[in-house]
Amino acid sequence: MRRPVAIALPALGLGLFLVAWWLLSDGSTSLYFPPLREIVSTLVETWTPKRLAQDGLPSLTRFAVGFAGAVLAGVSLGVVLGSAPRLEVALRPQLELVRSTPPVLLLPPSILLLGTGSGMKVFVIALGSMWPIVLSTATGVRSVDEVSVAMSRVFGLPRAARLRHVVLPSALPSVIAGARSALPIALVLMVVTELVASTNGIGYFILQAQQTFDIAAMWSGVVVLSIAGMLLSLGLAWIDRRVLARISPTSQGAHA
Amino acid sequence: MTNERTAAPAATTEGRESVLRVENLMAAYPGSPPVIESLDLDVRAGSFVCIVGPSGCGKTTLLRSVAGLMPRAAGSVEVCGRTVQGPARELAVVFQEYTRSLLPWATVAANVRLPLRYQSLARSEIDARVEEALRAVGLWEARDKRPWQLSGGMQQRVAIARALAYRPTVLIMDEPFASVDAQTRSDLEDLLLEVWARHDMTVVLVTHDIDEAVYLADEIVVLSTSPTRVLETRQVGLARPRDQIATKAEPEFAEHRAEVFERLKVVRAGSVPTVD
Repeated sequence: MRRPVAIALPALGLGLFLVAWWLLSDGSTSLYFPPLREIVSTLVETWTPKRLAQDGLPSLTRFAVGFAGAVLAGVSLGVVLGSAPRLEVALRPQLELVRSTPPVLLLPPSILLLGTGSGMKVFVIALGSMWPIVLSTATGVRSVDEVSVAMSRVFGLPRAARLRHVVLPSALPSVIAGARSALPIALVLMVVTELVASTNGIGYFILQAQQTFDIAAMWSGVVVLSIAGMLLSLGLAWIDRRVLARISPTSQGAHA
Repeated sequence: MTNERTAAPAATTEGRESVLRVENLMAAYPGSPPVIESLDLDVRAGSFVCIVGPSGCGKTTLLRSVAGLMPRAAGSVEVCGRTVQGPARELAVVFQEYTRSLLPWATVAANVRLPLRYQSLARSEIDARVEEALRAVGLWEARDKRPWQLSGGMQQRVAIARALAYRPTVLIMDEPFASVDAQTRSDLEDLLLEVWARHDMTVVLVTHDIDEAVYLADEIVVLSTSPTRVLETRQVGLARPRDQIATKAEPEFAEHRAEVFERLKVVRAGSVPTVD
């Protein structure tokens, strides 16, 4: 009873939004805001499998590698900080600084140091989006149940086994929460790295379309990007529910 | 230390070696006065010892020190003749909080198996032990379930199975049945007595329930509060196997119960100013 509503309501909201956009923009003669009808037909024409392979795939690959790097580095650093409270206190000013610095600022020095290739883009995505994962993982590791830890010590689990069987599974929901906050940052960085220096990618396509006044194509790129972002976000939410359901039925009613 | 009450059904552990020896134990948490100033305890192999005391008397602190989970401020703790530096291999613990000591993401069988995986045992030996322990507590059928799919009593049975499979010489239990309902509690008490009789194992069980202590124990250690020390060590000679109805109807049961109760009442009355 709750699930159909949970699916139907957002679908209804999205549907109403699209219908409103369609109707309100239909008579538009504005160069900058073409009718949705035009955007959709451009979308279908433009985003052929060939185009997706040429501009979509490079973007998504860089995003995937960068985001995976962010998760890996974020979890590693988070585990270290979470299990060494003094170290975390000592590093807190730097962490706050890094966290509150707009990640886009990584771009100029990164281009200087690494050039404009895919390596630089992946690096910027990873380094810029890893901080929510670091902080969230550290919190998760710090709040591991003390009874579970006592249990693992009494039963002689070696350090690595304790990390693998007790600490990491217990911090997993926090890691995923961190990843969910990192996802939009990684997407932004994916686009931004393509706006500044690129020869392919969705961001590059949008910029090209804008500079050649192909406004409908520009909007179609924006729509493709939004859909990709939404799907990724839904995917993470799904993983989140699966993980919580495995830990206990009460923390999330998704699984019976 | 046998008194006239226990003369008839002689304590079978008399003369066996000591498996747990605590001498002049002082335990303190940083920045506060010692919880335990000086405590002695001597547990013989194969015996069933119950520790009772008023709440806040440092029972849990005592167990943490014995289990090697916290450093001692002074004194010594020996398990099987060796000084405790960290958790001793010969020792297993059943915690009161079964929901927290069992891993919710692992199946019942995986929870029991986990400690064995790091004991350099053959796979077949591990499998055999897991099955034996789960059968002993009647949960072999539930092996693929996750702990939170089981009732509280069943979860605590999983924790007992995990400890059994680990084959400890000394099993420490920290108020193991405090969070289950009364019926489950007496079932678990009988289950515990049964597995204790079948395995050559020493049990040290902390409880605040005097009936439970008298029903289970060969020896009851009564603790006082602030400072924590041993007020009395009392032998219980009630015949085994024990029975929830017959044993509790015996005059000796009532006598122990009344005397321990009296002891604790005096302790509580005497420590009114420091009770929190």
